Amino acid sequence: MPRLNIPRNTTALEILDALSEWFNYVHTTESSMLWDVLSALRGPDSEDDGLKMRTTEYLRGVFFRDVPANVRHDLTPEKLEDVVRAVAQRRYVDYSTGRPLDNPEVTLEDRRYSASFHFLGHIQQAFNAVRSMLNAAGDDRLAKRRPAPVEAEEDAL
Amino acid sequence: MIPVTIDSGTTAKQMLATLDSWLDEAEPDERDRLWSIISAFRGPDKDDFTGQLKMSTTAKIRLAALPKVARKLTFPIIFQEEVTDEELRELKSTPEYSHFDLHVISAAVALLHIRSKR
Repeated sequence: MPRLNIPRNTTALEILDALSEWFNYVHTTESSMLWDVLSALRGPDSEDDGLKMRTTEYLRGVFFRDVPANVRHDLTPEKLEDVVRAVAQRRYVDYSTGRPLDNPEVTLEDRRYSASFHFLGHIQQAFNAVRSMLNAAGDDRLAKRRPAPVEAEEDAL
Repeated sequence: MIPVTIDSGTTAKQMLATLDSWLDEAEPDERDRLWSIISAFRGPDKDDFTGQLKMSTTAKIRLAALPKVARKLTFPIIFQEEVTDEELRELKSTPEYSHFDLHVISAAVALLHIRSKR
């Protein structure tokens, strides 16, 4: 993969300008994938550290060597598969209500308005983007065992 | 300002690799500013049934950070042409009630700083 030369002393403003230019001209599929990943780099607003560790931290670990909070973990296909499956099954408690999200008594309306549900929608979209990016590039980080496909949630943009 | 040109054929994966390289080597304050802004690109996870909170915070941050493309990327939540410094100062003064508020404040601080250097 070619490395794009951006001088070390480039500022945050210059990076944002370059991002803006790129989003303006690039193919929609590529811009959507990048946006999905960028949108999910923040952890859940519920401050659920367990959920963050299983989602955000893995996502950061795929692409970033160094992040301010020093939360990088190595990603393995097995770990990612576990996370994707768990997200798909909603096996997490919504900390705002104390109820597990896969409880049948939790209505779709409850899920839509729960912090974790909204966050998980973003994480699903981000993981779908990660799979598309890595698979298309023949990246072997996911080549050994690919996670089962997860249908995208409603557009969480 | 150094113009950073990125070919339109650059993929999302290459963009992330580029961001990673820059974050890895950049001056720490600049790195933290960019991270603060990117972290606030997503709207609030809850308590926003009408979308009003997202429009009054996230939309402004996206527009201030990516003025050329924010409206296209995040239709239809952005209804204004530009974000003033006064609006960013208001966001910076947001009472810190939640985790989301903290991200809004950090992004506003970073955006005000980088605007002052423009």
